[in-house]
Amino acid sequence: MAELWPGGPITLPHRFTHDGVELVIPEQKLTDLLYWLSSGQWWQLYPNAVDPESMQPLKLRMFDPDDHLDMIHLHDVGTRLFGRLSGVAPKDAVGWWPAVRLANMALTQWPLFHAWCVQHHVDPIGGSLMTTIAAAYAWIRDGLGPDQLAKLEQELWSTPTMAAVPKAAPEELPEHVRQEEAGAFLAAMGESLPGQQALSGLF
Amino acid sequence: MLRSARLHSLGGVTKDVSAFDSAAVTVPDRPTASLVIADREYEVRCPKLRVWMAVIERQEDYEAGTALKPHVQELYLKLAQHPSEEERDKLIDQYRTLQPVYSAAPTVLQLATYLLDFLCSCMTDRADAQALSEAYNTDDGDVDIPHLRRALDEMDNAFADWLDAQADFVGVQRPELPEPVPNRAAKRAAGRTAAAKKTSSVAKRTTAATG
Repeated sequence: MAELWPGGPITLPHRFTHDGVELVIPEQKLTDLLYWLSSGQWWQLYPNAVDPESMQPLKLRMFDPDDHLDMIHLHDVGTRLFGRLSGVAPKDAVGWWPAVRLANMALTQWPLFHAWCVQHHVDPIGGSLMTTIAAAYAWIRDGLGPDQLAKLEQELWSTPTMAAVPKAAPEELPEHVRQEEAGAFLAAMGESLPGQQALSGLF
Repeated sequence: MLRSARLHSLGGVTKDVSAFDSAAVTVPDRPTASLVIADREYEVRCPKLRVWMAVIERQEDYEAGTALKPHVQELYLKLAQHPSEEERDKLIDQYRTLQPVYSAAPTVLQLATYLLDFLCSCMTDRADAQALSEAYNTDDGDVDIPHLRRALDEMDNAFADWLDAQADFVGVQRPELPEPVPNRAAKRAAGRTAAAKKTSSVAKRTTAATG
């Protein structure tokens, strides 16, 4: 799929350049993408999913003490690509945090989310990441009143301060009443984000 | 940060591409700190987060190898003693489990060379890097392996805030320096000290007895 606009939605495989180096992210399993996204592991998409040989020029620069290239630059690319792959990167926005929140809510309340998908004829693991994240967005909006919707939108699209990103914690049992569920979601919005991850396997 | 570009299409790959430019991402300047190695002061710049993580990974590989060494040697000995077939298979299984970690670990000299290169690359003054390298590589130099390891600990303390902030920003845990596993050299050194003390006290007693 071609880009709808620069920085807009994308699908895999996706070709891009980082500092002039041509790279391709090949197809990935949707379940892997959902898990990486929900747990904040941007590096699994970029650079880990890219062919190591094509990453070699950037790898050499990463370990050059006089070159500015560092993790923060990989993070910038990885989070932007994930946001766009999730279809929640509007113009001039990264889309990473809303995508992480929606994936996290869908995975931690999977039976409810899946049931909603079945009811609405959506296959949450048979299509694209963009479709699953869109389904999660529709699921979580479903049945909310105007005030709750406004609060949801505000919290969904905000960028958390680092101090507000807690360690991953076991989720409480999901509520089964729609309104209670929505209330729990809103209350938990700031608490359901993934914590810091131990990074392994990065070049 | 992101600009539109068009490149030629390759089978099945998105035709329109995005281009990322690292120069558009502002990174705060890395701080510097003074480091004392064998009584000489050096100025070092904080390493990049990925480089620091690689140094810790290398140190972890070494510590893991050091911790496994006695077990691997014990396995060699047991295998050399012609065990029963069942026992031998068990020992070989154990060896196969340990061997990848053990063989991936750098030797103490490889680690020292790695750490020396790393520390030299952090020096803000090339002359300091040259001095450190000479102090380590010459026979009468003051710098030895433990000094290099202590320098890492000092850097870990000096740059903790900056490295933590970077790690927080990208959502990863900054790995901690592993505790050094007491190695054979340290044990031998301790043994030599104890032997020297014993000899010294025996000599003193002998001197006292003979008047």
